[in-house]
Amino acid sequence: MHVQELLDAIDQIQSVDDPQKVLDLTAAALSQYGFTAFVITGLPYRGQSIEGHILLSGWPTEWYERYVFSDYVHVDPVAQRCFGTAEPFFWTEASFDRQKNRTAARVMNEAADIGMNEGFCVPMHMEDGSQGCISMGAERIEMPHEARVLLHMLGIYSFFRARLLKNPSPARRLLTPRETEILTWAAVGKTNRDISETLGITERTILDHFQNAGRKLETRTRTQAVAMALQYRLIQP
Amino acid sequence: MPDVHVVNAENAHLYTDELDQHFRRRHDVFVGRRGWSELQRPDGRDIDEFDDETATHLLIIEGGEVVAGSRLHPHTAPTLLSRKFARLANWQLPPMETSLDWTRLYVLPRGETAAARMRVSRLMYCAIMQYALEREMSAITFVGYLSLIEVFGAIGWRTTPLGMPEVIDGRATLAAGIAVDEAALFSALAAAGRHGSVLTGRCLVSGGPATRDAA
Repeated sequence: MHVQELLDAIDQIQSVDDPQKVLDLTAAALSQYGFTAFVITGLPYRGQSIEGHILLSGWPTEWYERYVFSDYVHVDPVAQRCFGTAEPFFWTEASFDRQKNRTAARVMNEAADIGMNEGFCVPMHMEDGSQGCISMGAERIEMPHEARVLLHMLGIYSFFRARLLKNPSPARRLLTPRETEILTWAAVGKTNRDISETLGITERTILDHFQNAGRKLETRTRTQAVAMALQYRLIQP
Repeated sequence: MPDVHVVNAENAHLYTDELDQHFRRRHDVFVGRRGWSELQRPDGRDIDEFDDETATHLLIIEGGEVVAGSRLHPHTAPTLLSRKFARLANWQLPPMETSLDWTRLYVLPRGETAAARMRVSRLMYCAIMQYALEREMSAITFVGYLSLIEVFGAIGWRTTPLGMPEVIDGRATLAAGIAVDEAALFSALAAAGRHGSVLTGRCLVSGGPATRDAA
C-alpha cells in the first residue's frame, strides 16, 4: 500500500456512514497484504460474552459462531495480549505455553484450520478505559516491514469509525430539547402555527429550530427532518 | 462545568497567577510524568521559545486552580511542528495561513473516574474547535500518540496524517491535521454534553466572546 492509497482509504473510511462500507474498505486495504479475514471488536472482561462487543465481523460465519458460542475470547492469547500492550503485534508474538495452555493452543490451531495461519493485531485502548482490537488473519501474511505502521493507522481509523457508527449514543444528544419538542409535535401532524400556540413561541423561532435541526440531520425539508429524527429514534412517534 | 479561558498577549496581565500555574502544571506533566527531560528547568516551569506573544493559551480553571491547558499558534508564526517536528509532516500540509498548531495539551488527574477526566478533556476539545472556527481556520495540526486519532475519531473529528509516524520514547507518534468545521464543533459539543459557547476570557479586547469571568 502506498502512502496515497492509505490516505485515500482513511479519507473514505471517515466519509462513509454505513458500517458495511467500513468493512468493505478495510477488507480491500487488508487484502493487499494477504489478509482474508478480520474482526473489529471491543474486548469483554472475564465472565462477559464478546457478542455485544463485536463492532464489525469480517470473519467466516463458522468461525464467528464458534468463537462467540465457545467464549474463545477469554482464552485466545491474541485477545488477552491486547490488555497488556498498546503496540500492534503479530499473532506469533502472543506467546503462551503450548503444553500447559491447551485451550489457547486449540483456539490458535482451529484458527489455522480455517485458513488463518498467521495474523496481525492492533490493540485499542479507549479514553473511557475500555479495550478493543482489530485482529486480522491470513493464510500467509505478505507484508513489508514499513507496512506495519500503515496498518496500525488504518486499523485505528477502521476501529473508531465502526465504533462511532455502531454506537450512536452521541446522536441522541444531537438535538436540543427544544428541537426535539418541536419535531415531536411536527411528527404528530401539528402545523407550525399549532406548535407556536402550544409552546408560546413565535413561528419565526420555530422555523429557526427546524433549520438548525435540519442542518444537524442533513435534511432539506421539514418533513425530511421529522422522518430522519424518527429513523434515528431521536423522537418517539 | 466551567468555561474555558482564552489567554493571549492582550489579556495575559489579567491571568498572571493562572499562567504561572499553567507553566508549573506543564512542567509537572511533561517533565515529571512523561519524562521529556529536554524541557526540564530549575524553576519548575515549562516555558519555551514558543511561549511568546504569538501563543494563545486555553485554560480550564476550577475554583482558582488550572486543571487543564492547551497552547495554540497560528502557522503564520514559527510553530513547534514547523521548527521541531517537520520530519513528521513531510507528506502534505493543510493550508498554513488558515491552520493552527495545537501543543501542550494536558488534563490533570484529579483522583476522579475516567469518565470525569474525559468530560474535562472533551470540554477542552470543544474549546479548541470553537476557537479555530471563530478565527475561520480550516485545520488544526498536532503531534501526538497515534491513540489520539481514536480519541478524536470518537468525538466525530476527521483527521489526516501528515507524515509517517515515528516511535518516540517507545510509542508511535504522528503529526496530523484535524478538519475544522461546524460539524466537528457540533459533534464535540454533543460528546461533551454542552450547548453554546464554551469560551470565556477576562476583558478580551477583540475577537473573543463577550467579557465574562466564570470563576
